[in-house]
Amino acid sequence: MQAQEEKPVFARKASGLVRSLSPFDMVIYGTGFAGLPTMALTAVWMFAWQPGANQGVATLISVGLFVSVMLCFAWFMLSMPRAGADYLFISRSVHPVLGFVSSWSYLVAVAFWAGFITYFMSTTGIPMLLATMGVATTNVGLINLANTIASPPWSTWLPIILVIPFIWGLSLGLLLMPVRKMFVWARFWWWVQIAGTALAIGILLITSQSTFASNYNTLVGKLYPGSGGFNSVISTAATQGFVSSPGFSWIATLAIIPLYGVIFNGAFAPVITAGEVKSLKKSTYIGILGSLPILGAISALIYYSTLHAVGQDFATSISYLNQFNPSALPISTSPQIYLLATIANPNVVLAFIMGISFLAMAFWTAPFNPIYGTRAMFAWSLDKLMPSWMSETNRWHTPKWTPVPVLLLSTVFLLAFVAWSTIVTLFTFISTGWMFMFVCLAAILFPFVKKSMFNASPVSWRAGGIPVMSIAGAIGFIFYVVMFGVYAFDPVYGSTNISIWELQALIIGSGIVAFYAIKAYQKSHGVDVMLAFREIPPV
Amino acid sequence: MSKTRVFFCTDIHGSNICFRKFLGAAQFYNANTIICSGDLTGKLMVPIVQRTDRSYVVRWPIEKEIKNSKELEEVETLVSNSGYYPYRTNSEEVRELMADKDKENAVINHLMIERVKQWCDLADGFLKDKTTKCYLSPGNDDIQEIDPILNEAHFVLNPEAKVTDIDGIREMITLGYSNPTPWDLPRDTTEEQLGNKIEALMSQVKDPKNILLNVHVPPYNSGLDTAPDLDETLKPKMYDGNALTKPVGSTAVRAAIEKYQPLMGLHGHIHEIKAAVKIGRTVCINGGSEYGEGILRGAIIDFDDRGLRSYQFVAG
Repeated sequence: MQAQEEKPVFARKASGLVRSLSPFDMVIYGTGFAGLPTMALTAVWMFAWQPGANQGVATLISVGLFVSVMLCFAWFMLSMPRAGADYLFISRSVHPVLGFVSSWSYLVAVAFWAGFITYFMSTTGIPMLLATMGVATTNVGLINLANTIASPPWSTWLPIILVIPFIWGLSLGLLLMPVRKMFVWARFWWWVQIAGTALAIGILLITSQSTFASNYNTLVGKLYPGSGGFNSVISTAATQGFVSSPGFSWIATLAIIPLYGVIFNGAFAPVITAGEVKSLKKSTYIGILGSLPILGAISALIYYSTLHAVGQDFATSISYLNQFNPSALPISTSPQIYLLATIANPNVVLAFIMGISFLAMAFWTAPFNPIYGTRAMFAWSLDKLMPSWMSETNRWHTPKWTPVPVLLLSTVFLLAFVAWSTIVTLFTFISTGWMFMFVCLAAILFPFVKKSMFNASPVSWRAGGIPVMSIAGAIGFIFYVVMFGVYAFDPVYGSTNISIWELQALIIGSGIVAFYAIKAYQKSHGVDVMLAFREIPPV
Repeated sequence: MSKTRVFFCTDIHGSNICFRKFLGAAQFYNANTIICSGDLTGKLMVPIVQRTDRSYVVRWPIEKEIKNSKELEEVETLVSNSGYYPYRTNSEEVRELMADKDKENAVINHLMIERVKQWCDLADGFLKDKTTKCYLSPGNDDIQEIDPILNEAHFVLNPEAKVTDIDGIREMITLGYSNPTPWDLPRDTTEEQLGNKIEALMSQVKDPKNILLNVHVPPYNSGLDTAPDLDETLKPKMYDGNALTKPVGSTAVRAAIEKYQPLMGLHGHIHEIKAAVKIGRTVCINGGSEYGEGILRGAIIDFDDRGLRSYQFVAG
């Protein structure tokens, strides 16, 4: 048997299909698609989001629950290792209309995200860089400039002004470039963001609460004499009705988990490039499942390092005032960990690295997210659900036309966000969820609807006669139903506002109507779009 | 108005299930003509080794002990559907094959020829009472020895290096040859010779603008031919962690398309690509391949009196 063990197969001289993206690339996509940017943005906001929540515990539970969701993606990727993501999985395993609606709803979400990032860059990212530099150099002018940019009318006009160079310049340019060059760009900024975040976590971990309080008081004394200090932040929040330390609450801890939905769901991103990875099995598990603990560890480290340096009372109070009355803060710039770390250690070089790392997410995630949309429209076009010209490519073989409608949608969302910020923010939280819920549903049904494909796949395991994939799908589906329930009934998420659900109905409904309208149109021209989704019965 | 529907696919590389789907495509897609243009043969032989206790063991895709004839049949079906060749053998022969490359090649060639024979027999039985035209031709991966088998089949037409009449209105020229590849394959040739072969066929067609140019290798730098750039050890060249890609299509094919502007270019060769491009007025398509997963990718192409009416990529 020794010889057999050395030679499982004999290969003749033949052309080979070579896959190119590495497992590490998959980790970059998995952690960077949504997790890192969202974490950087929401970490300090979350302290007051659900007072009494323990973010460390919530992180652990979220990672555990998301394992089932991500297993669905990983196993679909191993069963159908080609580009197309959820649209491919769902349209081929359950029904094309569900695949189209899933993909359409997520396209809307990523288009929104790209618009939101532009808004964020002008109202939070640029002010953050200015504020960290202002704090590090004790330059009140820079901090005032940061506050000015973050406030009306600048917060209204600057995002609109940035639409041209940022969305229709940088993003469009990157989307039209060779994909490899775009990923080189993304990877550079990914490292910048990792470096800045690691620096901030490290500084906060070695800073005692007393040192931070002393630094904060000294800084405020120099910049804004007589405007209070560390303790006044806590007392001001308390006088405005905020209970900073209500004690640990399981309900609050569980209720904060939907926010992690936006952080951890990005781990699915490797499926977008499923057709281009090498070492498929290794890349799939490392890229998708490996991203979850990495994101969880960073999230927990941000939480615990912040608590270590500033304490629960200050963290929740500054978070509360930042959300509801920023002008009551001595330094009213959004208190992200990069600013807190600069206060803890006001070093100009470190402040610049951290400030630029926060801004970095805008440079790469804004063009990075619409890739999903451009590829989805490309796939729809190949399936005759969009005009043929949408699947035309340019000289670098990237989609020539699809970036335009996706970025147009981003521009519309940016303008909507400027006018209607709260509702539109929450609208995307829910909007991103549909796709994951549908994929979990597809995972439940896939082994039963496409028996032969499932049985031939490398994931055809059963436990007690039930396909393991269906079990993972059921857990993930229930998880998302519960999260949607929290969205719907917890006023903290603002989704009790009926117009948010009307918007969702509009998105889902428009997807269904569009699918059947296109189907009917193509039928009238002799094309049956359903043929693209049906398996040929072998003779 | 007359209508012709063609189902076109390529690169099924020995997959039994894909070939059986190919035959089923005519009825399923209501196609008058079905075309499978190389590469027909698989790339791997999977030894299924008999132990002294009469049981078998296979190490693809993972090591598995085979205890009875039902399991043996299931494994052989799985291997064959993936495009590979199951080969019942013993440890002694495995050692011989490892030591003797010529013997290994002889066994694999025999298995490839046998599979093509089985397919032709299956097709002949299935098509004998049907009006479907079935074209099956070799590609650059395929050994020359399969050509006689294709030529001898009764209801399978081998259009290789010929001008064939598709529907009384349009003709098709077919070539499975490719410009040189890093693997130095049976039907790799120079760009000059490829150009000469195309020219020789073009000189026989009635109307160059009204033909299907069914050439396995896609036109150079068309977007249908993007593949990893390989080094001399056949590993992808990497830059910053990413594999570099480059166009690997044929300049001769591109020159012919630009010169004659045929109705349509039908191509394969690069499995990763599923796309359509226009070179001048000519629509060129590559349906890609996923034979390893048992999925038959291809395109439904509709023609009417005015020419190309529509095309639609499908994966069944």
